Amino acid sequence: MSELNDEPLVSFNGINGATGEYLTPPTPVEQVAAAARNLSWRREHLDDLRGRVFDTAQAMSVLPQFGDGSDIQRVGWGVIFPASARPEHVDAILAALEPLIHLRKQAAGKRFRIYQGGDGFRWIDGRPETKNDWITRHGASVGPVDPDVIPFHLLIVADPQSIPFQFQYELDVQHSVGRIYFPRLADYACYARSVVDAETGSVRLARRAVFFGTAHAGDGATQASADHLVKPLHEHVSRLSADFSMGWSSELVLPGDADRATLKTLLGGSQTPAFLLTATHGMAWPYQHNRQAGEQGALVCQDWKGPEVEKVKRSHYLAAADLPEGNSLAGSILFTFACFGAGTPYWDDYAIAQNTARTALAARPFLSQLPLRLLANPAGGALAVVGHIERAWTHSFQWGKLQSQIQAYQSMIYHLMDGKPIGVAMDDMNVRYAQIASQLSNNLQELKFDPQAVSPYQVAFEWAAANDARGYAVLGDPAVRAAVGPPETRQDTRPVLLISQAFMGALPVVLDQEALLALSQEEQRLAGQADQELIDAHGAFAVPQAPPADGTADRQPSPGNDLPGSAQAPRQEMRSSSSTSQPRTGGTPYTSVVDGLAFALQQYDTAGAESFNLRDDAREKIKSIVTGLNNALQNLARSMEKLTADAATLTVTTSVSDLSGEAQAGGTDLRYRTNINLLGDMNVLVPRSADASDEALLALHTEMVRLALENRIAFLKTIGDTVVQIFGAPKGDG
Amino acid sequence: MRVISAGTHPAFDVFQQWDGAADSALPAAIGLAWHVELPEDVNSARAYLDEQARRSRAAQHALPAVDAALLRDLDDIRARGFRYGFAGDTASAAGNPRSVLAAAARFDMTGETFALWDRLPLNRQAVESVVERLGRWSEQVQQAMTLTALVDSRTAGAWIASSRVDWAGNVDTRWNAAASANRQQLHAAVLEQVLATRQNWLRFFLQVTAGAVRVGAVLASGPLSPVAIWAAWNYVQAVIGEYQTLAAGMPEAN
Repeated sequence: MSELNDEPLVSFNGINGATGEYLTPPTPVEQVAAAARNLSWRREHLDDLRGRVFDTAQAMSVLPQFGDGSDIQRVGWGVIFPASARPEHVDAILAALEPLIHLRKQAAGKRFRIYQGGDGFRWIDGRPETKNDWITRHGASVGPVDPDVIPFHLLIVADPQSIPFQFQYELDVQHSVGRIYFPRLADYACYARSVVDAETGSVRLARRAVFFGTAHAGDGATQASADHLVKPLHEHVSRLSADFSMGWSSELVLPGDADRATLKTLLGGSQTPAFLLTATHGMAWPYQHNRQAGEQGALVCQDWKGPEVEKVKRSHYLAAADLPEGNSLAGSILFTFACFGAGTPYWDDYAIAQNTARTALAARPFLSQLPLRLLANPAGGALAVVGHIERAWTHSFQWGKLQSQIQAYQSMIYHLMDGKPIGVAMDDMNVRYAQIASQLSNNLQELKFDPQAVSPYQVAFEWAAANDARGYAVLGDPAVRAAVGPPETRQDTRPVLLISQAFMGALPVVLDQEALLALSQEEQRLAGQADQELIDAHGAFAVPQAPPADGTADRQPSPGNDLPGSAQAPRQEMRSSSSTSQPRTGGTPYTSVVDGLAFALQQYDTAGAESFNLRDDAREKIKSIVTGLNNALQNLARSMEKLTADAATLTVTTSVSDLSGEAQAGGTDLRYRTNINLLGDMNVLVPRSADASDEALLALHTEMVRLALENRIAFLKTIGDTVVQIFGAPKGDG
Repeated sequence: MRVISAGTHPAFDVFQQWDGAADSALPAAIGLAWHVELPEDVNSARAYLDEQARRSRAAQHALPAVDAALLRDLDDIRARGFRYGFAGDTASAAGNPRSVLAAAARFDMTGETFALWDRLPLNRQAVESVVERLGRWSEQVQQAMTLTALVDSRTAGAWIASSRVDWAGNVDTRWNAAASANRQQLHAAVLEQVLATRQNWLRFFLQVTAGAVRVGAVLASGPLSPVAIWAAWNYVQAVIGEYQTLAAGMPEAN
């Protein structure tokens, strides 16, 4: 495929080159902590999380008599559709998925379910139901999964507007969950055939894992991921396989080789392994940008030289459109660590702007095209792609100053190597999320009673870490496992995929009619436009009726933003849920600079300083600076006091000398002396006898007096201004 | 023009008018020694000093405006939820004060983001180096303000005069009896330049301190956190840079 024009696309500095605007409001620590205190965590979700952490009965995600979740016959398998999807769409998708449905039904037997129509996921009065609403409707409750009630493995077939990411996150705490939603009907057929071929022995891959990580010069994020995620995981797999005779080989693609050409060979090319983990930046585009739908989450390769050298260009990242055609990823499982690698939610998860509002990232939540294309590759798709919804952070593998905290990844990879389904392998990632979120919840609870109980920096860190941990999602059937042969397998066997041509046409970008109505009018219009584009590209399936105009866009109120062609991302104001929420003084918790200084001094004497995440010597330097600043201000105050004391006198003396260098008693002749007191009284001492040269010297002395006076006045003014600025202007009498 | 500190760390001038040096042989009572070597031609020397004075005046006029500018920009952030339009702005922090705040606002000391749009022109090393710089600056300003300054003027190696200025502004000057009146006048201009520089240094230091508290309180970091210090340090310089650029194109008001 020909390259697009190689022009700079994204500028740094947090600036989007397309709009010139920032997308994320600041996250002040105090406001984050305050906003976190106002978070309305659903009680049921919190109970799920705490249960995974604290309740031994819930430590296993499925009831123990059903095993560890690997045996579909014991734990079941199901598909969830949106309740208000058109029946013809659901039927067509099921028909396209038939080989997979048949395979799973045979395996799961009585524990096979299809949740469609009234049993599917519902939107009620413009709001999506919660996970607990849904499972309760089907006879289950919080706690380990009972596969006789609801199957353990669940495949969501819906776009994330119809069935929100939040539902997937919550369901994933206990269940093994995956999602697919392809734009074309034929894609379902491709994917289904890929999975069936892999699980019926047609695909046999060598037990090979590849770890691919970029490390751009001057880029802390990828330097960290290369050193503390990718390399340690590669070493771990090598060691593990040897120790337990698992027969896996591990390869590390060093950053210098982690370019786009190499990545193409690993994604359907000649070097495609059974398991591939990539750690890179993900491309991101602003609200409604024309590149967002197609290129969000594209993987930035080492071709980009780094922020200090150049802006990112089109040739630096790999998007869906760049995938080589005709090559197969059959049998492979991929893990992409990158921002938006799996999808983009509607609201910015990290945008707590001044504890007031959040902004929309996209006109509707969506899945990234790259993983979808990998799954639905016509020549043979990957079995599953694990990626990140929203942004990914170094919190995923670093904790405070601790480096390489990758136990959850190690567990996931071990289970995959051991032949477990990906949904089971991901369980420790879920437990990690549960642990962080429970800790955050506990800290927030403590803060309600003692505002000093936890540093706001710690709260902010845990909040970001919890969001990050939650964001991992499986795209694909969660019951798939890497299609590897016995340990002695050296060559990959990937048959050519044979797909029926019966499945044609595009599906709507939003499958559920109720979910579509929950969007604003402008966003519904954009969805319709996207549908038309898909139809133009792939042919019509069934064009959804344009929903009747309805101003009840309850979730995304956007008065004034529904203008045609408007690129203004909607904002949603936060409403405080507590009458005891922290009072705000225009967003500044300090009434004066000196209060802030005092707070800073306190922070550096407490654990709060830990949150700066600096080297120990750097933190000590800052502490000494803060102390130094405090001393400097005190010195200034003392200076002011002395200078304004009654006895304060300015003295200017003028001498002549033949000798340069430091003042020497010998060889210096004192000529003039002027003393000026605070009231301006001046006392000038002159020589008893003067000659003509003294006139010039007197002129110099006068000049020195002028300079000294001006300097004294300027110094006093500076101190005076400082007092006002730092301590606050004096208040008038009430 | 050279400013020399006692000890091993060279002094430095945030306004880049004075070259920095260190001299461990300086007496303990001397905070900083200011040495100026002027051109032999008096007119050239005067023109040089006039230019330095102009630059100092620009900084002197800009510094009192920093706090108001910072408060205005921070209020703007609070009010608008941080939707600055930065199209066309460069990544250089020195060029645009608001981009400094933008960078600080987006920087998360608790972790690195893999979202390319969150890329910032600063990293942990940059932040830490500014913090170190402020530490040394803080000590230097205290030296300047609490100890005696020694100001020494020469032309073509020939000594003109030396002044000692203590923290209270008392001045003691020794003149070379053999120096011409024109050259002696140059020392007065040098002394004026030193005093103006010390005042500017003090104001800069106070603006950065106050600024770091204000920025930290409003943005992501907390008062006097490393990012707040970085932001304040670069913000103040950016405002002065803007002012100097503006002033360079305009005649000075009398």
